[in-house]
Amino acid sequence: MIDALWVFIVSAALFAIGAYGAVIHRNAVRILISLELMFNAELLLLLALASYVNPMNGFILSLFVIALTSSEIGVIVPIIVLLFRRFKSTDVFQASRLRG
Amino acid sequence: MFLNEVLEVGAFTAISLYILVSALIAIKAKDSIYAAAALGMVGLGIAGLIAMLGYGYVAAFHVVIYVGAAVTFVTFSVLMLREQPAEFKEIKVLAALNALLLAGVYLLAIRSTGIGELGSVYLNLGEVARVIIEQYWFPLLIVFVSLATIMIEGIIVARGEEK
Amino acid sequence: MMVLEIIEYIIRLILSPPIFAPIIYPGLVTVLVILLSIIWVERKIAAKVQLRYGPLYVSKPIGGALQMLADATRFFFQEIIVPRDADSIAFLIAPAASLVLPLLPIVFVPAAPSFVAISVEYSLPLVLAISALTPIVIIVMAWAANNKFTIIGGIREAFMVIAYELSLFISALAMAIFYGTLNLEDIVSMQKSLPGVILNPLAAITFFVAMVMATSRLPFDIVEGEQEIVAGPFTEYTGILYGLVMGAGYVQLYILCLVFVELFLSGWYPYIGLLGEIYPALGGVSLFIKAYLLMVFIVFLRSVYGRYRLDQAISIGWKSLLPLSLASVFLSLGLLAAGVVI
Repeated sequence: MIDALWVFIVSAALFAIGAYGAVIHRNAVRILISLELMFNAELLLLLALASYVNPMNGFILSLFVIALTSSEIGVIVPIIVLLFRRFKSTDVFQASRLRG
Repeated sequence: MFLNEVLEVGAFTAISLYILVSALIAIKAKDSIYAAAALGMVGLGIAGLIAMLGYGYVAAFHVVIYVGAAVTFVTFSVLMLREQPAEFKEIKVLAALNALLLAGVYLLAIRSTGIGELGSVYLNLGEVARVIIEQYWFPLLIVFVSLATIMIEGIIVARGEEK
Repeated sequence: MMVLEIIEYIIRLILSPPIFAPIIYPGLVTVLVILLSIIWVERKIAAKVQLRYGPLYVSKPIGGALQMLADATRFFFQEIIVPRDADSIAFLIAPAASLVLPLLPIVFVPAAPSFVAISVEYSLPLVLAISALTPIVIIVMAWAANNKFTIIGGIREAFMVIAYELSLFISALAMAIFYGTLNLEDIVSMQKSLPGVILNPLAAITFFVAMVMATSRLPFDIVEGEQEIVAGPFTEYTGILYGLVMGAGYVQLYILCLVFVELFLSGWYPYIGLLGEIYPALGGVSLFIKAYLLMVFIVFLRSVYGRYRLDQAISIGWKSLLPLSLASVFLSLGLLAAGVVI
């Protein structure tokens, strides 16, 4: 049996690494990758906590969460592509030039 | 048996180290392709940990949908867009502090839910399918509609360049 | 007699399914034997179609069958050149990863009744999922070599993945829907009297074409099109690395052929009871024979078809294969509704 504390620590460490990456990068795709690291951390946390409360609901919820997050990537990447078409760069600091 | 416990603890430690090292590669790599591949490796490791918790089918689902499709999508988009590696160097220390505080708050929030042992969950797939069809058919419908919407959106964005 | 007991324990350990299946049969040793033979078979068949001899120099009495052994020995003695501008760590790791990753699903593929390394009740999605990770490694390999031809090859690989992946999964799942189980062992045991290809031929055709696309066999070898982009992502490899990356495609073909035989051609039936008495895995040898014959057929397609263009391949994948695979799902549902019981 795995001790739950270690699962929580791994999840928190992965979350922290993702958070650091999300703040430090300027390239939009790297920010997306860091956000996806945070998603993986919270998926692990969801299933670890569901084992205590209601494993069946945790199972079903995690299936929906994985499917919807993958489709959310399918929304974010076209936004980055449109940003790239407009400014010819994927630097998110350029996006503040969008006015009006 | 004692050997089983040693193997279980050893496997958990190995997979956790693999996940954390891959995550560090994902944010530290100079080329974005390696960052996207490292994201795939993190996804694989998380799938391994999920399987160790007892949710085997969720692990298979994670590899198929997330790593197989979404990470390939991200890799593809990195290949298509021009590389502009830039970092906001001025706030490196602040960002690290922020990350540490976030992890601390995270651990504090979940500490109160109880410390125990994990890994003894077993769910029958047929049972899960029955519950989804009987109780959660409406969220399933919404997921279908949203996926169809996103597919249409992708086609529209892809066609936009022809104008 | 401690030594005797230890030896007996070790032999029993090696003969147990979790060790025997991934390493000896149908795993590593079998894959190496197949690699050594199938490339020679491909070259011989292409030669016979073109009315020439093919490889004949190495071992003339048996028609040059040891040619691949000679090639592999030659590769071991060649120098491995790492280009100066290439990223050496990724450049050297990627070929090994591209050989191991397609071979990993072998632990989930059953070779005989109750002879599987890891027995889970959802082995079909696991096998397909791990096979779907190969393109990421090839894209990393293409980027690491830092060469115009390899990057174009990597982009082509990314496009090809988009073409075939959905149809591969949906047509395999159509069979799982009809049989009502995701376990490869149960799917094979339900095909004792009737192969799956008779029940759902649409799924068989779609899975076959998607499989040919996935393993870059002609007519879809766009990624490594020899006449166009030198060797695609594998351009900069020399020596044993070249042997590894060229073998990786055949390993992928082998695994997908095993899955095809188990889904559609009734796996290890007819089960040879006589051999099964000696050792369980030997009774399922018809699985291996059928998979090998299927591989010979697919490499024979090299002499028949010309290569498709990239946009033609993608339009085939989305305009022909995807509707066919969805139709195969509806066919499965229709068969279930009509009450077809086997």
